[in-house]
Amino acid sequence: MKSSPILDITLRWLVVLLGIVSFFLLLRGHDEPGGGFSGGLLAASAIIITTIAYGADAGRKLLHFQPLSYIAVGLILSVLAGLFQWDAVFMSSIWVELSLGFTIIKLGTPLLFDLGVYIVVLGVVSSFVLEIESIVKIKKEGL
Amino acid sequence: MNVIFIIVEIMLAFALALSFIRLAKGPTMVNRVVALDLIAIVVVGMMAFEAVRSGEHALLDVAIVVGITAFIGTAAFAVLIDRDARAQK
Repeated sequence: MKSSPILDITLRWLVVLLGIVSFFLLLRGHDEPGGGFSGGLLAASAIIITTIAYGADAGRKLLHFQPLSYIAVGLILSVLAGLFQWDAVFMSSIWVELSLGFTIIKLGTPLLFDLGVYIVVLGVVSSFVLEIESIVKIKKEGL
Repeated sequence: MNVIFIIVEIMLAFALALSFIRLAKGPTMVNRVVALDLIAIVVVGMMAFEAVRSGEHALLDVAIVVGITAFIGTAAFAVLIDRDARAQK
């Protein structure tokens, strides 16, 4: 399929922008709107728009790993966030303050859990889209 | 300030109503897709207006995300129309 130059140039910036905004939503999601789920959906929409424009192979190349391995890694991270504490209730949160001199970064197990959710959502949605795109392509070649 | 808010509200509602009319009676698929894109942009404007009126800055982030993802829907519709036109040839 011949693609248009408008779509080409828009996509080059839009994919980068979607990645940045999704990461922003992931990091600020603890006590403001956002979080792992919506960040993951936004990251998956970068895969969706690439798949729409250039086909399923370009989407797979952008994803770099198999979608199923994304789901596995995300689930492992989420369970790991719950296993950090032995004497407290499962999934109770632990915070660590990392001081870098000019600022203080608060890291904790909720962030690890959110990162797991982000990776799982990215894997699930992009596996849906890539699978549907392959089915459409097979049907079109069959006609 | 109140008068400005009311004027902006009426203008946005009028734009939304006009684009809904185009969406309902658009003769071809292309008219409807453009009307849907316009509705998304007007909704982004409404969110920005509401963020200014209520001082809730989180609504601006929602407006950014809606503005980015509205492009994806339009691109998907464009691909669909392109495939249809090729199939009919």
